[in-house]
Amino acid sequence: MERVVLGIESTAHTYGVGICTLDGQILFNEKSSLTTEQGGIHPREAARHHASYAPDILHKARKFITDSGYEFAGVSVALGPGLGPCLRVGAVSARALSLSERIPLIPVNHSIGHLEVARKFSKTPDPVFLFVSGGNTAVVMHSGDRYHVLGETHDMAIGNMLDVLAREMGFGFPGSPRLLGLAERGGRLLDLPYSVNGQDVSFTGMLTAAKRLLRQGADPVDVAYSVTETAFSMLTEVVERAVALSGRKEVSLTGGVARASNLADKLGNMCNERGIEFTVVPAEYAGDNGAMISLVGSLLFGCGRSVKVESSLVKPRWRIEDVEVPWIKSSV
Amino acid sequence: MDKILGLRAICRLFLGAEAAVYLVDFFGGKAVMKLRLAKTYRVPELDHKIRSLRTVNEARAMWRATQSGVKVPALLAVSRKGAAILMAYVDGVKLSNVTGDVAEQTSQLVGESIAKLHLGGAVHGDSVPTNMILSGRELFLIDFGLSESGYSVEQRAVDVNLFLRFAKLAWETSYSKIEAGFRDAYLGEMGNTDGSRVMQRVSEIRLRGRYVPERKLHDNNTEVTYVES
Repeated sequence: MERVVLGIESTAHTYGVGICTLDGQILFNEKSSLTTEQGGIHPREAARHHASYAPDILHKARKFITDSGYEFAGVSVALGPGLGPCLRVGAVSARALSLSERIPLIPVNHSIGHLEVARKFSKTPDPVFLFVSGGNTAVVMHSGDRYHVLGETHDMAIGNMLDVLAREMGFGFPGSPRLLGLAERGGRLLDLPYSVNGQDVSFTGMLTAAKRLLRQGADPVDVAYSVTETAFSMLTEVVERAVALSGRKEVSLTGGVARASNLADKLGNMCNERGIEFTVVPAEYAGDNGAMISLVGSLLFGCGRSVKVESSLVKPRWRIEDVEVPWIKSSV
Repeated sequence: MDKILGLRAICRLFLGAEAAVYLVDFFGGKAVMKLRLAKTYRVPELDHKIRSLRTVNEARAMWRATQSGVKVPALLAVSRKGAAILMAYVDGVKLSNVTGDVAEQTSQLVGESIAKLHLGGAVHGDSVPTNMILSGRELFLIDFGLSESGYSVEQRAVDVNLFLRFAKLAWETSYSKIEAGFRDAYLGEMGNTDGSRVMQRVSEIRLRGRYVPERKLHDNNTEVTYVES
């Protein structure tokens, strides 16, 4: 009987459950995300959403395991980083499963989930990652026994900046897809701060300038176009610098904002010019999902890593560099 | 090879993230031409603006660094339209290519150069080991493309943080000695008060990254402890 790991994701707006075999084959990926008509995500509302959808999704996942004749080997959960109230919903459901099924509880860092699911689809084993989402903007690569952040945002995450700007334009959450849609119709570049600080970027100045342009009556289409052009050019530039410094032969784009085709086009162009590979994480694994948590769960399970229920505390702040990655045997 | 802005290119020395650097024949001698390349991922108007701004900014910054007593390649010519800088050739090795031992011996020189630049009212903006050339017993700073003028603790700390962060990545085992050497020389040149202020800000900048546990006192700061299964 093939053994599987079930993974639970609940760090922010999405409650998701994934199932993965011990050799990393994803079998199941169901999720429910909180959306709003207007305004952003309130952590308490998101936690309520998770608590009300969790039983259904979990029931479906368990039924899948029994019906398909798999053996339940372990349950993994994203204990952080994320919003405290949301993380607790995932943690509680994972602890309950671990106790009732008498299977190991495996703690997973959410960011490592985004990186590993992208690495599963990458062409080389050690690409430079651009991890972009509502909560994260980081240039990451693996070296030694863990992932290292080579560059990151000094203030807001790119997805957060786009969502806030979309909210200013009157869109609900998630507003970024609507904003990206507007941007595609634009073609007039307005002057915005281009903040590249060594390997790092900064987005708050651009957000302030864009809000001011909107207040002064600029066309939202032009603002959306200029913000995405400028911000994505900045990101492509810091990734290119990381590639030049590290000599890696591939760039892998992951996280929710990986679905922005303009960003993928820019990165693809840059990689093409440098003669290196470029891969984008498949759309169903771009935004937060349980599959990536089950994938890292199966990797950790393979290394014999698990945690006792009583010490499975959530970690709202849990940096990528703090996580040992024992499954990659790296020479660099 | 082709001619670049009228000069015969001998070879390409380096293809960086934003520029190509060529060795060129300059009236029978060797010189270096740095060309900022057009990026197809940027729309042309944004691309041209960034490239010519950075070229002029870099040339100005190199001249200013010389005045502060920092060693940089001598400036020969600048083209705004061609986004190109012609400078003297420096014979040496990039600091990123040296061993941990050499880096340790050079760390004082790095601290001193960065401090001199800072005292002169400028910051480098991209102070990674790749942008330093060790030539004999002298250290040359190159690539002033992201350099800015200013005396702020924040700008200075970004410079220091960049060097130390990459030093740690490149020479993990010798890092504590490199950091000590750098700190001594930097504080020595800047004076203890200003220098310590910058070093203090460096630790604050590190705390600014995403999800740094030390930043929030009420967080659960314990490591995840695994059990053997």
